[in-house]
Amino acid sequence: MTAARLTFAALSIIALATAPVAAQQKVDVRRPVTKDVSVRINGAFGSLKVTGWQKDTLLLIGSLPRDARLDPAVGSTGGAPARGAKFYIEGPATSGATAALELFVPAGATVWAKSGSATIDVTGITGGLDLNIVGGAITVNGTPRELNVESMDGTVTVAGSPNWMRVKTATGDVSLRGSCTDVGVTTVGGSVTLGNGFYERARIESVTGNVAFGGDLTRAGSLVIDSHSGTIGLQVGLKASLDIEATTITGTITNSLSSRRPTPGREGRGEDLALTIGTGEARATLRSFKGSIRISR
Amino acid sequence: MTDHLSWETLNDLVDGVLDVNAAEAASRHARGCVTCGAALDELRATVATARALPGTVPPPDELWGDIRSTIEAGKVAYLPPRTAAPRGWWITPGRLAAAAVVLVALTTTLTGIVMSTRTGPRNGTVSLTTVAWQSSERAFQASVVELREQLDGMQGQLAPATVAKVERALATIDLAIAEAREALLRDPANAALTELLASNYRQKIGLLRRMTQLAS
Repeated sequence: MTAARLTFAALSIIALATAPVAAQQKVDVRRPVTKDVSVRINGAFGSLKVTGWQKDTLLLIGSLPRDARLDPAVGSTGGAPARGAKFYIEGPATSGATAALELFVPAGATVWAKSGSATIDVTGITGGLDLNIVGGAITVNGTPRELNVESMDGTVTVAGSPNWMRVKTATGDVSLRGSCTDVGVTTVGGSVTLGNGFYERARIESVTGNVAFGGDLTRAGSLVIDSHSGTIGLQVGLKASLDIEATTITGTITNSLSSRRPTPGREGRGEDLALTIGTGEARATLRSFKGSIRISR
Repeated sequence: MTDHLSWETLNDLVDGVLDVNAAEAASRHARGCVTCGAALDELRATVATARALPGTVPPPDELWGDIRSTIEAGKVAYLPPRTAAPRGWWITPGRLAAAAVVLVALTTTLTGIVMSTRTGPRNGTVSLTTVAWQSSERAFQASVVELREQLDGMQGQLAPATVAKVERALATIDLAIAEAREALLRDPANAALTELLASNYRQKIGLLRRMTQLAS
């Protein structure tokens, strides 16, 4: 290859690499806000990273497609820190390009975000989170006071210990690694995995999605799992003390926790199993129409 | 975080299962929020109405035929409208609240049924189960039809791929409802079945409600 050709190739590569940058707008919004500011961000963003930090400042940075528009509305009077902020991203009419944004807010903020197909990553928020997507993925790290997530087929992964958590998906998988005082998960066909922590009140409903619970219930805690055809797996900790009541209408129950065997269900179909581990201070109710139920250590 | 109390919180408040602090916070919000206050009042009225219902009522002879016709009606394949309807201006918080009230009424009725089947003699509860169930099912169907119409009218607001996903999910739930309902008709006093069927109903109304909110 000649030097001229090498030079041409190098220039072509540089041009290709810089073209997207030129076709984008830079976002840089900075405002003083209260520690518990409420922030709403809505519209055509493809990725959003939310970070809770120890500053009384809201910072929104990132890039917008060239034809997109960002409408910021930060509410403050007389120079006082704003208590609320709203951002709407209108996507370009002629392409499916979306914005990539990073939002920094005080850790105690409440953040509400809604988009179509998007990835949302949240870290370090101790206030409230309300996240809504159709597809993509949501990841939350930390201990938000309240966490409400709705997704169609986007996956939901939580690593931390929200105090209150509700997740609803159609086919998106849900995973929680941590603890939660009050958790409710509803899914049509997504899998649900809860483990590695303590739960006081947990209710999980699925239609076809498999459910696996491997956490510990607190004293007098309760766990209810309903699934139509998904497999239900309950992994009981060594120090667990709970009453377990399992029923499947046409499926089977496998108990590797004790020698107690399930009994035939009503009208000779399905199986029932009731057993007590320890002194039975907590309660687990497992119900399936035609999925199998597995109880193990 | 939402601006209003979640349906779960409203339900829990009415059911009295929130802890003291949470109940106080929810009540305080409801007192200062017209929307949540109205929803709370409706829920309480529904629960009061449900509690006032008679303990047992003989089932009508046409019960099975009625339920069968409902099942058959549910087998009709859904076809999208030929033209996209205008934006769903009729989707009001009141209508969504009404759907939620139906859902709560359904849950309340089913809870009553479950409690009856757990504590009462089997034969004595069958009639209550079937009659209460018939009533709940009608309310459920009415709510589904209304939400369905709203969603159909909003399909222009949603991406075709999203609509397809929703339709698949709804079909999955419908199948589960049909199976559980058929089993419950064979064994009306089965408390677990009642809970499972109620769960499927909640899934359907919840999904329809979420989609109408997403599109609005």
